[in-house]
Amino acid sequence: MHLAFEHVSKLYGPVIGLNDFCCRIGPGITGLFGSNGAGKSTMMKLASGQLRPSQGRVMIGEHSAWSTAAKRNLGYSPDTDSFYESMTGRAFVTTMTRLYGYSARESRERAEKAIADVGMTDRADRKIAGCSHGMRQRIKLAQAMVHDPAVLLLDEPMTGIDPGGRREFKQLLERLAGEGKAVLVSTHILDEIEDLADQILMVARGRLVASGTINDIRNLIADEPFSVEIVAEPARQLAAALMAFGVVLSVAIRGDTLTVRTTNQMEFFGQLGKIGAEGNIAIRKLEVLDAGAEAVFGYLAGGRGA
Amino acid sequence: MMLARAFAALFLLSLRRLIWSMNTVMLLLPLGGVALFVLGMHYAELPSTRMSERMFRKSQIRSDEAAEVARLARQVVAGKSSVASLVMADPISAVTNPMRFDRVDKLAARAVEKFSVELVMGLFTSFLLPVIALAYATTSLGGDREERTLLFLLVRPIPRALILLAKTAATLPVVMGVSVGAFSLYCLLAGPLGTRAYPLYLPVVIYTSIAYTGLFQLFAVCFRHSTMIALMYSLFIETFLGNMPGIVKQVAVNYYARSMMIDLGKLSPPESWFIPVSTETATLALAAIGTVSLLAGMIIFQRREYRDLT
Repeated sequence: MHLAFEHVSKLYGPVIGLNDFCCRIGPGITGLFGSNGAGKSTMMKLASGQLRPSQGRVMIGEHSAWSTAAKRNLGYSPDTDSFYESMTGRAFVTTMTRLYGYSARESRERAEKAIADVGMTDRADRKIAGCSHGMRQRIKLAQAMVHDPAVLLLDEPMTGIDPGGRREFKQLLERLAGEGKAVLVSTHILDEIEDLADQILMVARGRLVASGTINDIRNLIADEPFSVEIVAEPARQLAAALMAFGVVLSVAIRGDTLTVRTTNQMEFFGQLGKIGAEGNIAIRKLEVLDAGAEAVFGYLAGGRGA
Repeated sequence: MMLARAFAALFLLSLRRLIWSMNTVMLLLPLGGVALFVLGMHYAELPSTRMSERMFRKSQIRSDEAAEVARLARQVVAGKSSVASLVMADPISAVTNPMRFDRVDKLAARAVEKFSVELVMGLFTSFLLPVIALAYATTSLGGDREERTLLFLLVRPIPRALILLAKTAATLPVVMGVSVGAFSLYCLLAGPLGTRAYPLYLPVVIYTSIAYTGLFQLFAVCFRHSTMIALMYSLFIETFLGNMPGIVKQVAVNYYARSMMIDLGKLSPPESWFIPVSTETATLALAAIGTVSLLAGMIIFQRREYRDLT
C-alpha cells in the first residue's frame, strides 16, 4: 500500500505550509528530512488525517487520509510528548488498541506483542509520568503498530533514544519494512536516518527539494556552494593561494578577514589544511558561515545563502 | 461490530478519565460552600417561629400562636399533612381560630418560596449547576485538546462525530450524577423544605444538566479556552440574557430553568415582566438546547481541523 501526495498544498491563512507537494511512499523505509518549519510536520499531519489539504489529495491506498477508512491502515507516532500520564505504558497501549474495536482479549494480545516489539515488556507497568524520554518514544511507537498498519508514520521517533536503543529501533523498522510496510520517518538530523532509510525525501519551505538515496543527498549537499570566513595573516597572501583552488568561487577581503565562497567542502578543507601546514600563513580563525541544514536548504530552495 | 466495540472503549476511557479528573476534587469547594450556605441559612428549621412572628407582625400575633402556626406549617411543608387535614384534625380550633389555618398556609408557602428562590433558583441552577456542567463538559474534550492527547483519538478508525458522541455520552451521566447527588444532599440538609422541594425540582435539575452539558460540549469543540468562555457565558451572559425583557431571554438556559421552577413550585416571577413558559415548553426547550448543541458539535467536529495539537 502507498501513501501518496498528489499536488498537495496546505495554506494556514496566508502562510503556505506545503506547496504543490507530490510524492509516493511505498514499502520500505523512507526518511523525511528537513529543518524545523520546513513542512515536515504539516506533511505528517496531512498524512495522519489531522489536516485536510487546501488543494490536491493525500491518499492512503484507495482512501483519502482524512477518512475514517484510511485510519485502519495507518499507524501514527506523533512528535508531541503527551500521554494519559497516569496510565501505565501497558494500560495506555491496550486502551489505544481497544479503540480499533478488537475484543478485550485480542486487544491485550496485540498490545502485548507491540510492547514486546519495542522492547518494553519488563518496564510497561510503570506509570507513563515516570518514564524516561526513550521509554515514552517506545510507547508511542507501540501504540502506532498494534493494528498492524500498512503505512507507519513516525514523527521524530529517534529523539531521546540512546545508541543501543537506536540499533534495536533500526532492526524493528527494518523488519516492518521487510513485511512490506511503508514506513515514513521524519527527522531534522540527517545522521539519524542515514543508515536507516532506503530513500530520503528532503523538504524545504513547503516543497520537496530533493529525493533519493542518502548518497544522492550527500552529494547534492557537498556540491552546493557555501561560505567560510577566515581570519589569517597575511590575509592577501592566503587570498592569492585560495584563488588557485579549483573549487573556490570567490574571495572577498576586509582587513585581515577573508570571506570565501566555495563548493565541495572535502576538497576545500583538504587544500586549506596543506596551506596551514606549510607555516607561512597563520590562520587564526575559521568559521563556516552557512553550514548545516538551514544553509543547504537555502541553496537548494534557490533563496538565501551567501 | 468493530465500530460498536471501539465506541464502547472510547466511552469507557472518557468516563474513567472524567471520574478520575481533578475536577471532582476542585468541585468540592463550591459544592461544600453551598452546603455550608444551606446549613448557615437554617433551612432545616424553617418555617420557624421567628419567621412566623415576623410575617404576621402586623396582625399582632401572640408568640405561642406563632410557634403553633410554625409547627403546623412545618408539617404541611414536609408533606406530612395538608391544611385541609389539619382543619379536619382540629375542628374546634377551626371554628374558634380560623385565622390560624390561613396563616399556616401562607407561612408554608412563604418558606417554600424562600428556599426555592434563594437556594434552588439562585445558587443551585444559576451558579452551581453550570459550574458542574462546565467542569466536566469542557474537560471531556477540552482536556484532551489541552493535553494534546486528542490526536491519539483522532487517528483511530472512529468517525469524528462519534468521538464527540462518546465523549458526551460519558459526560452526561457524570454531570447528572454530581448535580443530582449535590441537590439530594442539599435537600437532605434543608429538612422539611428539602423533602418538599426534592421531587418538585428534580426534573429541573435533570433537564438543565442536559442543556448545559450539550452547550458546553459545543463550546469545547469550537473554542480553545472553552472553560473560561463557558464560565463567562454561564455567569454573565446567561444572567444578562436571562434577565432581558422580551424575547431575548428565550435563548438563555437559565430562563427555561426558572420558568420550569416557577411553574412547578407555583412561585411568583422575579419581575413583573418575566413571563414564564409552561413546564412542558421549558422541558422541551432545555432538551432541544442539549440535543441541538450536540448535533451541531458533531457536525463541526466532523469537519474541524485542530492545528494546535502538535
